[in-house]
Amino acid sequence: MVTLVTSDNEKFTADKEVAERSVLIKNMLEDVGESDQPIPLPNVSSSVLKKVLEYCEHHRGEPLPAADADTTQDDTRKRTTDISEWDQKFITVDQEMLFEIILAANYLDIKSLLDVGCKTVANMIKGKTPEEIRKLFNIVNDFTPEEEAQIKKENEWAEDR
Amino acid sequence: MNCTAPIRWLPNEILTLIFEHICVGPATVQKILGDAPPVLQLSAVCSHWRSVLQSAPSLWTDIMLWFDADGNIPRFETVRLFLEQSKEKLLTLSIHFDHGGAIQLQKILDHPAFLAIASHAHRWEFLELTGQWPEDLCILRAPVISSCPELETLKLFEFDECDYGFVLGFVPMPKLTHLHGADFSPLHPTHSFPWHQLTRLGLDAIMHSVPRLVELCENLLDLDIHVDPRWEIHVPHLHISTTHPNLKCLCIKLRSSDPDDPETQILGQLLAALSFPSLTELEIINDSHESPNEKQAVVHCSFDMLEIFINKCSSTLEELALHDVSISDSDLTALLRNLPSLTSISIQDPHTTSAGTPIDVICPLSTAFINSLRVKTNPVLLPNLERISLVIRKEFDERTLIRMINSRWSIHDDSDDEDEDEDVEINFLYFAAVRIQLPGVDLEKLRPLKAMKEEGLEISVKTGMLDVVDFI
Repeated sequence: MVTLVTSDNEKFTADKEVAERSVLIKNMLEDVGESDQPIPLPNVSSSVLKKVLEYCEHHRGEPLPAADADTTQDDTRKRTTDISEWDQKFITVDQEMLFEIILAANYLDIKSLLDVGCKTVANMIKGKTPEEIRKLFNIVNDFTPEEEAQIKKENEWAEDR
Repeated sequence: MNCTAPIRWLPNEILTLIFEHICVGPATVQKILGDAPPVLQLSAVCSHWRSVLQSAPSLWTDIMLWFDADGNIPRFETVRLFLEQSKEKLLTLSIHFDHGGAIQLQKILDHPAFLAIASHAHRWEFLELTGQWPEDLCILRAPVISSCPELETLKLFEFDECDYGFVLGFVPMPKLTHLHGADFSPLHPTHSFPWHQLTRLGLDAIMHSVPRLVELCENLLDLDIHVDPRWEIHVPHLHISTTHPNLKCLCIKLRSSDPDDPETQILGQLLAALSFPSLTELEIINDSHESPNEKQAVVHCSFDMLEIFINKCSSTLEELALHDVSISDSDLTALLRNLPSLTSISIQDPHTTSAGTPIDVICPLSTAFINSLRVKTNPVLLPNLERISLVIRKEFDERTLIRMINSRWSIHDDSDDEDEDEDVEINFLYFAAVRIQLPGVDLEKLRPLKAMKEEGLEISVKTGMLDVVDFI
């Protein structure tokens, strides 16, 4: 078992196999060798780590994606934003938690979870106009009048139709 | 951007990853077709996103351009913007020509959008060209361009109006290794096309052209053939047979023309005409079901049909896939007996119903077939098998499946069989993927497979007809 300590000082224990789905934790364990010392995770809060461990537990034993997985041009064109049913339910959380999970996956180096998070945000954005995207994420339109004019020019053909 | 917006927490590299999922596929840069490309829509959200997108040239490299006689033409300013923003990254292009002939073609070649694309030919890496006339291939010759130093993949579609007298001199394409297309008649063997460079060839083939094209590509390693009987005027008789000494991988995708009248001759004739003594991977796939609105078609296979071909490559074949192909369990067993070198098999039962109507298919993955794979049989079938993937669509005995996997997973622990041939060296199975597409599967009966996973076998078991459920 491995003990993990979150930014809010909460301790979690997890099977080594589960915790090692994080490349960061795997490397840390390899560095310290056989030790009962808890691993500090100063960038992850307890509420987020709980979710991350739930994900790792569900995907326990699955092959880890290769870090340097080579993709051909054909693969890139076929890339989809499909997410499995379990992952979809798992990632159905409020925006704040969603972005915290993405940040934690990035910090802990859990490629598959980062992928699920990014695909989820991508699916939220797809098919929306710039104004709808701003509203969805509470983004302020901060373009200068010159930039606005340039953007209008770039998107002009919408008005040609 | 508002600093309190949670999305603002994301660093630029993660934002770029998200944008990559949105900007997937070619951006259409037409004047009168569809919405603005996603990358332009995203650029219009806020200044931060705009700067992130402008720092990610790979999001601007995939472009689709249409030039047709009805005035559907690319918007020059947009083409120029994509070429600028993609910096020096290599380009992925889809170019569609639809015109009435030479005069209109010249107008296209003189169009500023086309000239801009042509001036970046040194960055073309992937080109999909949908044309009509052999003359459309002039975009790969001087003076339109001078060379394509980075072009690796060329896909050609719909060149069905051919003038065999038209002679083409192609510009140098020193990196071209992958060619895919429906009909290569415009690429006559006498033309200066770099056939010798190709290692991968994909043919949506008119059958009679297959042997000739394979012969042209002396360094070919990978051949995909997509045969559709609807493309053939009649089932051809291939008098030419071709031997390719180096080809490693062959994938044949078939669709039958009529579910009530299976076209078995197409596959049989093709296999009889081809000989690949170094082949290591063979896939035969029925892809009829890819068209959801059509009736499920059947591709029938038999031992007789495959025997001659298999005998020509039986000592080298390592991987075999038969997907949605109707073949009897006894024929499949007989076939595998001739292929002791196989280390991997992937067998999918054909779909047994179409819109609720039973169709005439034979599912090979019977209990008898599964049992024949047990190590206990003598002589052992497929002694080198290390990977197995099965999609089962017909009633079978779960215990036989468990015994078969167990016998291959823990070969040396099994001592309850006295028939084991001790002289035969048998490889361990280390990967198994099973999908059971049957109603009312009793998962409890499959529970022993979970124990094998806990002991280290890489195994996945999925069930369900439409919604896939991961059991293991």
